[in-house]
Amino acid sequence: MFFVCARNVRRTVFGSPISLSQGSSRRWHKPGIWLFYLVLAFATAVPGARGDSSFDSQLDELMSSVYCYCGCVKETIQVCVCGTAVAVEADFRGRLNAGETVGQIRADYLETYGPQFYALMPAEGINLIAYIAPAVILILIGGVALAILLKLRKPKVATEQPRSTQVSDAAVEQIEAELEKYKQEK
Amino acid sequence: MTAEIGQAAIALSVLSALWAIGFLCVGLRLRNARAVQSGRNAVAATFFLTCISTGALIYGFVTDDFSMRYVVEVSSAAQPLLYKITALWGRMSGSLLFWLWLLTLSGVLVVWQSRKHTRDNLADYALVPIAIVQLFFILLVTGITDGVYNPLVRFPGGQVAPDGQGMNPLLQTPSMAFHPPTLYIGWISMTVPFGFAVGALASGHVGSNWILRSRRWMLFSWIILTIGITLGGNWAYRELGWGGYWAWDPVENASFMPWLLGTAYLHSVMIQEKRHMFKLWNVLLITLAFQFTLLGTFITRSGIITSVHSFAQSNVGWYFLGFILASTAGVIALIVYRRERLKSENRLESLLSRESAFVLNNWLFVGLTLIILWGTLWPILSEAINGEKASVPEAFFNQVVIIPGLLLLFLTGAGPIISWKKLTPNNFRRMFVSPLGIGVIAGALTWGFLAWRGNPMPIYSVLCSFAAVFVLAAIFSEFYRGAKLRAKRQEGSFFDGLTRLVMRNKRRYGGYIVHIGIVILYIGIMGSKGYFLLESDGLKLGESMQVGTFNLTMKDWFQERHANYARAGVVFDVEKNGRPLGEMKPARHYYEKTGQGETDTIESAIRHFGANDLYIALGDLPPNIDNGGIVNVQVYHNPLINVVWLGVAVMVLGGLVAIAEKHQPKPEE
Repeated sequence: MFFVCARNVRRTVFGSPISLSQGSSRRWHKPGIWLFYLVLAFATAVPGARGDSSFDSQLDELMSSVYCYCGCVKETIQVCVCGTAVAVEADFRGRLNAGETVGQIRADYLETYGPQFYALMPAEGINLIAYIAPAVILILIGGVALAILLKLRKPKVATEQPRSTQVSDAAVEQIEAELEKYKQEK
Repeated sequence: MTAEIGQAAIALSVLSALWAIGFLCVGLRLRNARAVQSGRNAVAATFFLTCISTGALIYGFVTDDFSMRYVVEVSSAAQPLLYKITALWGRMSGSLLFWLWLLTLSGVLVVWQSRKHTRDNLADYALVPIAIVQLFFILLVTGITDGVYNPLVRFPGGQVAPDGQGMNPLLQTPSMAFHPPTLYIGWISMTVPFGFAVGALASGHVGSNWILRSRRWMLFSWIILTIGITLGGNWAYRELGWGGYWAWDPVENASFMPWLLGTAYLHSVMIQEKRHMFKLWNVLLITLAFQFTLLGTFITRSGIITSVHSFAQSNVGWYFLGFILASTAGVIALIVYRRERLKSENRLESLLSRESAFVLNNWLFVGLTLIILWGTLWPILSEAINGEKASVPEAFFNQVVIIPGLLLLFLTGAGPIISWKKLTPNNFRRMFVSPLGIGVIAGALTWGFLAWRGNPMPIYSVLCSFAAVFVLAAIFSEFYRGAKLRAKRQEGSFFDGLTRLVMRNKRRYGGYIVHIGIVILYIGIMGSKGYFLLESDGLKLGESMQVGTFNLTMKDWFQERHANYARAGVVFDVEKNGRPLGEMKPARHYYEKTGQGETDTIESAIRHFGANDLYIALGDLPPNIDNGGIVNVQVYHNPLINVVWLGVAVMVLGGLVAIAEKHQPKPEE
């Protein structure tokens, strides 16, 4: 869900498994590395897909940019397996062969069935707001969070301690190390 | 007669809920123990009455009582018994009754759990908002509101239908038998922590007791919601024939948003417990999480947004919106009233501390929730602005959640290893440097590998590799150090030390297991969403198609009769690199009774290859299939998709470990 995904796009993938590599100098880190690369190796163990011709890529672009109007919700022509999608694909093929552009065919489709069947929502016009707003939301909430953190921060005491009572950095570090060790043991 | 008894029980439950609210309020205000006890008894009575009405409806289904309107709409004589029972939540009225039954069950469980807590009346205070929510649902189920009817009502004039219309075929699958109830249970059990939060505000006891008393409820809700959401994804994967499990459908989002807020809450309460800070924030957060469960219902039921979950739509959603606004106003009023007591008792020592990490975590969770809400509601907003309803694609959500998602993944590892109060240079050196180094190496290796393969390399895959390995290294180091220390102290084996470590602090290490599950989930998402293969083709019998190294030959077709549907499909011979792997049989089910629109379902054929799946979905079979008729076929190769399910299983396991820890509330108040 966190990747620029392409359910609707024909994909090419890697050809062979990657080699497992050890990136750890400490023994206790090895399981994590191995687990990760083992799992990643599964992802890459898929053979290469066929190359797309210009016609195919245009057809893919078209079919993945509009939803099927058959009644399924939000399935593009490329993904939907119903008879309607098959008929639409045949129509798209014919029109592309006849020399029409992707833009023309798509515009016709959307004019016929409505703009809600457009599957791309480009970041332009009114939809630009939709794309900008998430960043604004994050920044605003982040600003509020930062303000709260700053407000809750303990004010620094500016009083100078007599030199004799100051503790050296080494001693502080030693105490902290012992405290950590104590916490772990606890 | 059974239906009439059920209707009477619903009518009486209005009185019992009112009784519970009234006597609890009066009893708590006047410190009258008998009145409070009467209110508690009324909560139990409401549950008893709801059991009767729910039981009456189930009886109607099982006995094919086609004089009942709801039974006719969602059941039929030929429907298998399992789906007759699950028809209870097949449409609006029944699902509201089922919701109500679960809600009253949670109420009576709170009464039962608090029977030994005599020191305070916190649970009694909590029962008041719970009973108010119950009353809201009871009023909906009675059918007095527009857009929903009483599920136990019969047809006028003693009419009896010869047969029912049958349940929506999409719902007649095992995963749909379990997905809605688990989501309902997850949502409804969030009412209890919300009730405790409101109860704490009302009573003035806003310390950590309400959190401790409702901690298991919240964890339970989180676990069940996790399972419910995943079951939904699994259902979509198996039944909708599009090869995916998550498409940011409005109702998927509606179930995900309370989960995000619930997860934020589970983290932020730790600061209140440890440092007595963020009291106000925790109340707000649980209120938000609860309101988002209702908001999900509003989005699902009002029909304002198109969704695959159009099984139950009517005007009832607007009542939910009204209830959300009214209850939020009530909570805000209580917060204002108790604002002095909600102030933090401690201060932050440093901006680099675990407390700050939790704030960052909450910022991201709440931010993600609002971003998803924004995307979900954008069709309505765009229509309001320019008159055209935009259709928000999956790609939009993938783009806008990716950065906060990756930051959250990083925090999954950083949170557990950063120290409370202040991150010292020593702490940084000991806890962060190695995991960060290993993460950087992993990211660089991923980048180098993909560049070497000539793949277009999104930076996000590199960042995900870095963060995932960093988290695993950080968490495993926590387990390793703790287990080693315990083993040394107990003079036992490392495994003994590990077991003791987890058993002694189930909450902490259960949480770490959840974090490991999240990393596994991210890896699964990365593989299945980023690197899948899709091939579609029209095939005649005997023809083949190639998907990666797989070769599929459509060699035959078949049809079968079942009790309430016919099954028709094709048989594929599958080979990988020329090696035969056997047959796969994708099919379609054609239902005879299709009361709610759909007439057939796609029954995808799925074959597991380790973590990967080969997935075939079938178009309609033409009548002339034997004579060269073409069948439309979609074939997916989904890498790492089974890692997604594994990740969720590990998360649930971690949740179960964490919920096993008992917390005794302190007599602080």
